[in-house]
Amino acid sequence: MKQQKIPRSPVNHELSSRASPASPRRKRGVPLIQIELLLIAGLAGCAPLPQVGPFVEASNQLRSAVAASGTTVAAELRLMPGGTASADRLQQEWEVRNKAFAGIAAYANSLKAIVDAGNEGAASAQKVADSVSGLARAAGVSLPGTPEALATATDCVKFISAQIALTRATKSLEQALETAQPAVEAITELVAADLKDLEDVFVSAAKANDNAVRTSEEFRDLLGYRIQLLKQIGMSNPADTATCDRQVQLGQMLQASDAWLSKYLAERKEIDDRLRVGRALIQATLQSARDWGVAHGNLIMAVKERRPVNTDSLIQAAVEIRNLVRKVREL
Amino acid sequence: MSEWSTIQDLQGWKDKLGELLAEARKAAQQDELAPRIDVNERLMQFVENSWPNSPEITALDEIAIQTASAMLKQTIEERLQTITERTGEYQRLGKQFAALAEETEAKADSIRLGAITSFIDATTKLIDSAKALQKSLKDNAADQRLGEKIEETIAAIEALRSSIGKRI
Repeated sequence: MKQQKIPRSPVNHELSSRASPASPRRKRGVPLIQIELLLIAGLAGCAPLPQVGPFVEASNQLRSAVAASGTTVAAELRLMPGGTASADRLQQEWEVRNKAFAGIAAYANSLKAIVDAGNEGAASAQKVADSVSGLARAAGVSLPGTPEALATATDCVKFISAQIALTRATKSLEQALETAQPAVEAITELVAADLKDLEDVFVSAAKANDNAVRTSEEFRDLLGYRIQLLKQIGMSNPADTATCDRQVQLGQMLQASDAWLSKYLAERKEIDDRLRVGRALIQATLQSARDWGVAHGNLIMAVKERRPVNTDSLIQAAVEIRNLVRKVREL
Repeated sequence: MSEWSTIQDLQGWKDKLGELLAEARKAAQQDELAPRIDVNERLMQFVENSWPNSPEITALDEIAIQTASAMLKQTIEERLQTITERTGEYQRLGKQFAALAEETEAKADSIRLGAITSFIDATTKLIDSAKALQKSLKDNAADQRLGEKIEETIAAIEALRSSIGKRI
């Protein structure tokens, strides 16, 4: 492991109450304690904490995708004839899922807080030192020691604090991840089953809306009429001059219904577009939930084995989800 | 040749609808969505292709429309029911994640030495206030005793500061 550079601090001399300037270690003119600490830290093998930022981002995106999936399907149900009660019911049930995923996002953020706290051990020690210094000034206390000795002692304290913070953060991170793992596995399975049902509801609602267009007063007879016209055109012989006028008339009648047909097709396309994008969102959410569960397991391994974690697929999935949520909102 | 093109009369359409209703019943007994969607599509095609638009044919169309609608609604209700059955588990897991998040945040704060810093900062404010109070005291016996108490308090806080300095 690469050893940490110890910064020299011009402040916080008050902390020197721990190290006397008369100490034999100081007399040698070398901050021996620092060397010893570096050796201790090296032997202890304090590995850097894994990057949890992409996991946090993926958790937030998953939360947003789950919420958007529920909203999309509820909206489709509302468009369905007599679908309001089902939409209300779904929305109510989905609210509980949204709360659960808010808990997941908070959990992911807390992992980042642990990692940040571990990485900022020296800064935290500095902050405490600043506070102690302020307190001493307020109390009017004169502290012993030369500025150089005090600075050295402060640096040592910061270094030790950094190592302690890293160790504590690693332990806390591992403990939190392991505690959460069964819940992560459970929620991954639950959301997969939910999204499958949600997709079925969505497809059924979209089909019901499509049926409503197909059987509406406006279009109900259109296709039958066109089918009959096409059937008659198909049965006539273009070479038969006796039926020529009739054939022309059939062609004109077919053409006259084109605008009507265009409107009919446009209405159905609108439903189909919603269905396509909504299903893509549900599928991406499903995949994202699986990736998220796997990523959580990988984080545990990364902390245990002191190795970095590969988060490329999580980052990619987060981008895809963001785009799909945007598309669904645009529809 | 489509399945509709060979149907010539009302009896033909009645038979076709009977066949579709049997398919719909079969699909409704299965859990999968695909067979239900397939039957739905065929029922809609029936409505579009049935001809002429006589009252008898329109009545057959209405049965086809109602069957398709009932099948889709049944699917929605069934799926919503299974979604509802999972809600309790989400509530339990959501609470678990929230509690774990709180616990982990507290640990992070402890690693950041947040509690110590807050305590010292609060104590510093206390000393400033104590000194301000000390300055406002008069030269009588009662105030002198209070002044001594304030001195003792500041000394005690300084001792505490020193202990904290040794802890970090």
